[in-house]
Amino acid sequence: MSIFAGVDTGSVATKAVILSDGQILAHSIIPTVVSSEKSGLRALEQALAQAGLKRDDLVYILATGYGRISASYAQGTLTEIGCHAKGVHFVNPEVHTVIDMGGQDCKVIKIGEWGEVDDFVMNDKCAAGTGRFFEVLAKAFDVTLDDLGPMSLNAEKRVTISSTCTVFAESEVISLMARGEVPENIINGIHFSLARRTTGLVNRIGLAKKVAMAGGVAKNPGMRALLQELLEAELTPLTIDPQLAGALGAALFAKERASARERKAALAAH
Amino acid sequence: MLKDVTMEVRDGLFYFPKELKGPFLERGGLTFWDGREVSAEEIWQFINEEAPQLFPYFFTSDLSATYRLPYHTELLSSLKSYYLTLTRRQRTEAMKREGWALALVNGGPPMDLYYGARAIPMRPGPMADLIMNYAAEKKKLQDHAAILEGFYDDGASRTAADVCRLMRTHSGIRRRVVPVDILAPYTAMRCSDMSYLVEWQRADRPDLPKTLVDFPWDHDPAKPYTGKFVAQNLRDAVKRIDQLTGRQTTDEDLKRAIRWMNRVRKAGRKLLELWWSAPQAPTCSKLVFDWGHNAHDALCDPVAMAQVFEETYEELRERVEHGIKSVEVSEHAARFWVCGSCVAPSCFAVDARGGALLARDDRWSSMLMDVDEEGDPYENITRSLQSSPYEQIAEKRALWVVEESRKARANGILFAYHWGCNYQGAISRVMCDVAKDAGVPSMNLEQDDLGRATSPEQSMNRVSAFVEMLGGVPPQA
Amino acid sequence: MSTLKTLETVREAVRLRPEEVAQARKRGEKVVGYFCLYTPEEIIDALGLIPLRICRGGNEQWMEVGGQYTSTKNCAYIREMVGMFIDSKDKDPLLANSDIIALTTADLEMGRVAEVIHYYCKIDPAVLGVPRSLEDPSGRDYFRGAVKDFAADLERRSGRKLEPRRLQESVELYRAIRRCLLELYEFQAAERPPISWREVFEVTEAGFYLDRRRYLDLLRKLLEEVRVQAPLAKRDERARVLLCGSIIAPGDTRLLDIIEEMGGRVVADDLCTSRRFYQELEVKEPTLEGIAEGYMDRLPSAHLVCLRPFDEDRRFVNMVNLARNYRAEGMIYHTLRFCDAFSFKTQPIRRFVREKLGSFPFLNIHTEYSSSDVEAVRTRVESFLNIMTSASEERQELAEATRR
Repeated sequence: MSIFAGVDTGSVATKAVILSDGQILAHSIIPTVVSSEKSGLRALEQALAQAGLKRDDLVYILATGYGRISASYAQGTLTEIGCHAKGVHFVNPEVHTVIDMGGQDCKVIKIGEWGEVDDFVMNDKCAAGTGRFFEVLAKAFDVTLDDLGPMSLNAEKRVTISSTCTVFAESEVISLMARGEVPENIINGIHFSLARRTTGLVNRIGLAKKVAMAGGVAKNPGMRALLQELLEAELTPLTIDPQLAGALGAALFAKERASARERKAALAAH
Repeated sequence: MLKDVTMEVRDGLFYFPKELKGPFLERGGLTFWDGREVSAEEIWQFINEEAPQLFPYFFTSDLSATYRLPYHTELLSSLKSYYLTLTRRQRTEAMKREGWALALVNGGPPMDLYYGARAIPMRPGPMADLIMNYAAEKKKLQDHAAILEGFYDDGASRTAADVCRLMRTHSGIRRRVVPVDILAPYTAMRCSDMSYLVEWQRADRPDLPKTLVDFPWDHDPAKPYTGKFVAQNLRDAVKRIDQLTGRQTTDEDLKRAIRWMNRVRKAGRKLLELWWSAPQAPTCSKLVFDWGHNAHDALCDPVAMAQVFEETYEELRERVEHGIKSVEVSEHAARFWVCGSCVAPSCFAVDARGGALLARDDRWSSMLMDVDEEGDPYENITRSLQSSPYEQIAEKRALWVVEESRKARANGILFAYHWGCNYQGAISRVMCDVAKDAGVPSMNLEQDDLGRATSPEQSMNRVSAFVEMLGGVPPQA
Repeated sequence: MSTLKTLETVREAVRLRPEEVAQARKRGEKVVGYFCLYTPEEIIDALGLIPLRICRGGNEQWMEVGGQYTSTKNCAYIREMVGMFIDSKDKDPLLANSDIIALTTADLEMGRVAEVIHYYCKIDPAVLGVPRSLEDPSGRDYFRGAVKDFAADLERRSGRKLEPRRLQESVELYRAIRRCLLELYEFQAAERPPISWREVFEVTEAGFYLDRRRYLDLLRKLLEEVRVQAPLAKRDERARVLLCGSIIAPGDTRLLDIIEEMGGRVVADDLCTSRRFYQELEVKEPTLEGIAEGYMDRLPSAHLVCLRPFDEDRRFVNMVNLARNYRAEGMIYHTLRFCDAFSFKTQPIRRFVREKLGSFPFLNIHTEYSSSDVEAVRTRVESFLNIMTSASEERQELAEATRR
């Protein structure tokens, strides 16, 4: 039985998936630390321990995400754009638009018939509309990341907010609080403005019949609700943890790469 | 024929290996505009002894650097290009002593006008190089980056934080580092940042003469009064330059420049078309991109430039005929046509990630803008200017790009624009969408990394994703 | 705030105007929606077309949408204009009623708007070419040709012909309107103003929309009312601000509100939606040529390029004159993000104004249509107004001391 691993080192979280026979044997999600190489290794070891395996049991490790560049433990690398498409297509083949809100980038990917990337578009190169932004926001309100979505859903009204910049978000929140605005309403306003920006990205490449969210922010119910409202479409729930889609895709590519390598070796042997 | 020779590395600097010397000397030297000559021996000595000490940033062996030599020497004639690039400063100074004026210009339109009037055209890109030549001489790579960044910061803090990064090189004029004599760019459609910066130089450089060659834009350059207007602007610019140099530019002077620039443009076109025709990339992307720049401003000397190009063509033809592929470019490279403003991702980084750059539309556009050699030179340059494919409205330009990129067998179009470029940023999406409508994959890329020693990951991650989407694979390490 | 009855009539007329325009279109009239002050309204009016100046500001949502179709590195106002064209859900009623869109290339980014809306909205705007300089003879020749072309384009699009008689009438109409506005402007700056700058600003805006003949009547009525009220007006002791810089288009009230909230009072401006709309614009000959001359000679826009020394740059000199003539105590220079025409001139203007007026308080507000920096702008304006007041008190004390 061949075993493969995909490691997705993002700017906020590092994810690993161990795959065999089309089944996820184990996975892990840990916060990314300063050394992305260490984060990747740690996530990998954690997933391996869960599966009761050792590094040597792996046929191929493929790294993705920003940390892939320094992933000396991996045999190959690919960008997270291709990996997200691959991962999502594997678990939910009916989905052809993926919104991935990651730690540093927000991207919308159009998936082709076979799980390949047909087109993609990414946010402006700043942290607004990404996982990092939500971290800053949670800190400003002194709540946890997981609290944000439910708080947004509990808003009575929506405060208009631009928050085009993470740096300003904090000061904007403070001034809104000073004016006596309740946190829920502010949080809802921020979610709304981000959902609006994301909708703009989706419009650039067009919305397929089935659309899903991947990445850490996909777990935020407030964001999901607003995106559905603005896109006027249901978000298909993924059959795996949406944060793992990239790592899963990487593991799937690892499998493809390994078999290509074998074929090449077989040819060479002839 | 040259096999790809890797550079020698000593003390963190690249040197051309001795084995190249013999074949290089066989090819002879160069003749300049004024008839002066430089021998192959002199070129070799400069490029291998003086230049590495003067410009360590250009000879650095740090492969993550952007402004550097390629690791492999693929064409011997490229040494002559580097010679012309790196002697820009000393040649400029010598020309100035002989009565030439150094003119700040903008990229895109024909440079024939300036050469004809004995003005050395200096685009903002080479401005950055010149700033480096003056301010960062003998400085290490890390200092080089910090010095350039210092100029960018000065440029922005004196104008506005919103100014295009490239245009911040105006700081080199403001701080009197680069001895510019006149600000005389073509303007209007090209770049509003440039116009407002020329205007802004009134504050710190009231001493410099300033003029704009206006090329108005009202969606119909064929209107009769438009042509008259442009021609008059050209005449006015030449008058301003003449006041400075104290000589009178004749139609014959302009025609001589036109003949040589036509020759440079033609040679540049032939080079690119030959490169595109090869099944596998015959050289690394850096050379292709350099040709684009050099065909446009001719590195201060159209006569020498034409020789270098013609020599390069012979060498490239041999490589293509023998089916030699650059080792720096992947066998399965995604071929990119680049559009946009004065910017492209680092050629080296693109090659390393499985891409190859074929051309940039503004440079290709200027290579196509031959000027008629008979008749009134001002009217001829006007017609050339009005024919610029790059300056057409966005939809028209995009369709032209699609057509040209097909000739170059591009897999995709990369629309890159500078952070702060209002003029290209505004149409980046239109351009990409028109290309997509025509069936060519496209991506737009806002770049803010100009002048940094290494290519920032966020930009390059997008390029990698685009490479993967087009089925490209990085070269085998 | 004054209690001018005519102001209420103007506001009511503006409120009803979209419906009125819609009705007029049903009767077969045609509307030209335009933006830039280099658009010769006289020509539009003389062709019997309804001119509407439909520029807008302060709409964050449009700015964001526009940024998606252009780039976030385009001027905030330009992004909003693109967003206004593209956002079909929240259509501007005046834009929806425009049969012909007219743009100029005075602001080159506006030329790009023409390209973007052509592709995404299938709109083919009439574009008036404006050269970088209207002072150079070659630029003037070009503009003369461009104005003639623009008129011919409007004739073609509307199927109407320009008649000299109508042109004369229009030229006279606009001359009268501009004179009224200039006169009104003087009243707002008085020690005891019967009308505020903000109200004059609003009345100017009303002129973008209302039927111009009706508008002239209203202006005359308003002036009568203002003249009567002038002797009774109360002293206004708030800090006197000269407001210059990027467009402050209808809807963009943020900075104006903050200045008032913080206890300041605008007494003079060089905004293209305010004083510059009618200042130094004199059409002498009722011909296309005459109109072109008039528009060329108007106070130049910051979008054009002047390469002469600052002392000969009418825009710079104008700011100093405004400060002197309207006894401003400080200057707020407003620049929109990526509005390079204005923002690049910030430091030279600061330097020039200080050189001419001594230690004249100067504040640059660089911003865009977003709520995220409201507090930052407020803090800056507040402390600036404090500086202004103390500076002017100091000056007074100094003056008194020298008198003694």
